[in-house]
Amino acid sequence: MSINPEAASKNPLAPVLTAAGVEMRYPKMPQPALRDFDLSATEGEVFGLLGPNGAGKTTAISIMCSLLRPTKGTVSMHGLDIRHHTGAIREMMGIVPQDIALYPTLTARENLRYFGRLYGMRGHALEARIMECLHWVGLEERADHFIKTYSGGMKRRANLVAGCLHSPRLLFLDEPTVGIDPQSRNLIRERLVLLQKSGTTMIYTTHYMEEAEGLCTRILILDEGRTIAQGTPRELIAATPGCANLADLFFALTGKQLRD
Amino acid sequence: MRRLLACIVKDALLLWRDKTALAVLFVMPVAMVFLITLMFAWAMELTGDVPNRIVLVDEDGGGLARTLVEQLHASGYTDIATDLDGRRADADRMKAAVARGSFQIGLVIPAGTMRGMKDQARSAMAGALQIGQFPSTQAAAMPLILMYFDPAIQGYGRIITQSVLERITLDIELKEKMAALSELLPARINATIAGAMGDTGAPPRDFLAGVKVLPEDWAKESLAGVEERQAFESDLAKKPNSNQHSVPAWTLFGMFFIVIPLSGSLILERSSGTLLRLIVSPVPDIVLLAGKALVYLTVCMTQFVLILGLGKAVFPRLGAGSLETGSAPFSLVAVALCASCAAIGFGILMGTAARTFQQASAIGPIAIVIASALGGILVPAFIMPRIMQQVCAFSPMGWGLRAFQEIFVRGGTVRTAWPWMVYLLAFAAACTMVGWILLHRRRRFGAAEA
Repeated sequence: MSINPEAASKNPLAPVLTAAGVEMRYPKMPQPALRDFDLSATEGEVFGLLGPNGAGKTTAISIMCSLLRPTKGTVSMHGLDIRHHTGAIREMMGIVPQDIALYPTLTARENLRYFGRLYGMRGHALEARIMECLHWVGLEERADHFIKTYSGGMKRRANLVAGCLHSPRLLFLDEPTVGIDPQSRNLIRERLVLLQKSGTTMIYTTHYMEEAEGLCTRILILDEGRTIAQGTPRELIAATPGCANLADLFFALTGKQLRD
Repeated sequence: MRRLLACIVKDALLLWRDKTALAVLFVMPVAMVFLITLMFAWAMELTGDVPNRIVLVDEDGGGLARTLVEQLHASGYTDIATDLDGRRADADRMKAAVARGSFQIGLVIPAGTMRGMKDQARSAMAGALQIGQFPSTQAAAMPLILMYFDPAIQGYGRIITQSVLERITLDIELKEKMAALSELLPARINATIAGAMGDTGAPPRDFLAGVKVLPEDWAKESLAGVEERQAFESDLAKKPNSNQHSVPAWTLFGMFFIVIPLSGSLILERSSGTLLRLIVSPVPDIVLLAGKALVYLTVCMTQFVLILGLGKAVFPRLGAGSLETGSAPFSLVAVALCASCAAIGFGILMGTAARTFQQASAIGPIAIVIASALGGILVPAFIMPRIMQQVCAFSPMGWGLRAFQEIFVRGGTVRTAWPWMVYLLAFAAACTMVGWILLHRRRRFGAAEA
């Protein structure tokens, strides 16, 4: 199945999401949470946003998904400035938060029906799409069970499809595989590859380096609000002596000291 | 519109499946109103509350007012006004003041009352002494001191005040009767003596037998009465009872308990990340909030109809007295809507100000109980000390109760209840606005914390 049949555009190299010179200062904070942040993601790209705790990943995602307004800089999607076309841009984007952002006392079908309606979907098309998505993550048998009765992996899979239901062109994924069983993690990774092939652009944050290395076309490493590396995983690993993989590169750039 | 409908369906489903919340919203207030109404039905009929704010209209000018004020002061009624708004009180303005609850009792001494009492006293004495120059007490109309009660004053309070007034008038009567007796008795004695002595110039041995003994009931004949009247123009003929007070009071109490599930629902969305998903959806925040608010508005109105129905149909059969709901159903619904909005606004504020569900579920009910105590739900405001009564003027539940009572027992409409309705709506708007600001601030600082 194609989870995002309408995603393909005429020019696959045209940037879907662009962030330029973004800076974010929170009130009463001495240092900016994010500075000189530049990012350009093209169609079908999985852009990994990596960094230790407090690096500015959540701030960057919050700005790019229109939740926060930056102190400086611009963010645009398909050339539309996010400040001036917030509604139109939100129609085209989806988000898979780190938390299970679903209602525990609603069934999976009821949750998806609600989120689908928020995006203007309805009727038979919505019901068919719900079943298609649930089948896609192996939950069609549990469609009418309450989310609170799901296992951790099932919740994660339901959380993923709630963000993909409306076929977004741009999908933000904030640690979508954290704390789940290997089978569910594997399934989610497979589905993300399918999404990528269908042309969905993804901004992906994770602390699992091997996952990012296998999935991301490009990565951006943040530390203390600054971009310290940006490129394809292979280029970055090759350019850093003594690094055999992305985990080595990450520790080489950010150090091994704890970040709480 | 479809998106708003989706939000309504979602929140209605969430609430429907939260059995604890449903119990808090429906079983708790129904149980409270049921128990309190029946428990107080007996107690309020007997004990009620003793009113103390009196306005006196003296149309007579015969000195009775001064005596009445002195005697009322001596009986413990300390707050007696004879002026209203800087001018001497008249009957119309007194009735309006009592009807709106500014005073609990209004007294009118009609013109000619003192003269009438004196005439009655002389007439009674003349009749008793068989002096034919005064009309009989039965023939002359008895002067009446008119008494107007705030409809919120209950049985015992009314009875006490009426008793005090009757005792005072009895004192005055006795004084007037004694004055008349002092005036008439010498003439009667002289006439009797003169008749008994005849032409001999000496009284017979049994001349005193000619002076008739005063009938025993002469002192019991009333010269003036106290009559209770309605202070407002209305079809409401029955006196307020416990049902009349408990139903609006505990309906408001129940309405404000939506704070717990509403704030819980907001906190759950915030803590689970669902709010993030909702905020970055193309649906405006106001639609998301409106969906939630409309569900809880429906809950409040259902509570209102349910408890009103119980008060109307069930409680009277259990001895709690009938429930008068006034003659302005649309005004009643309008007041209920305003009170619901205030409760929803408070719920939104709690849902955004509290950091956790535990905080909201601890602070919310305590705040409601305090607001209900201040608002006269637990203890009627008029028996509180003056300072507390002033504090009561700032309780949303107090505004709601005043507005309900305006329509229930004072025969009012939106035209007279509007100030409290405006306060309720202003409270709702202020709470929602502060909640909105807190939500946006928290969103910013929440991101900063991450």
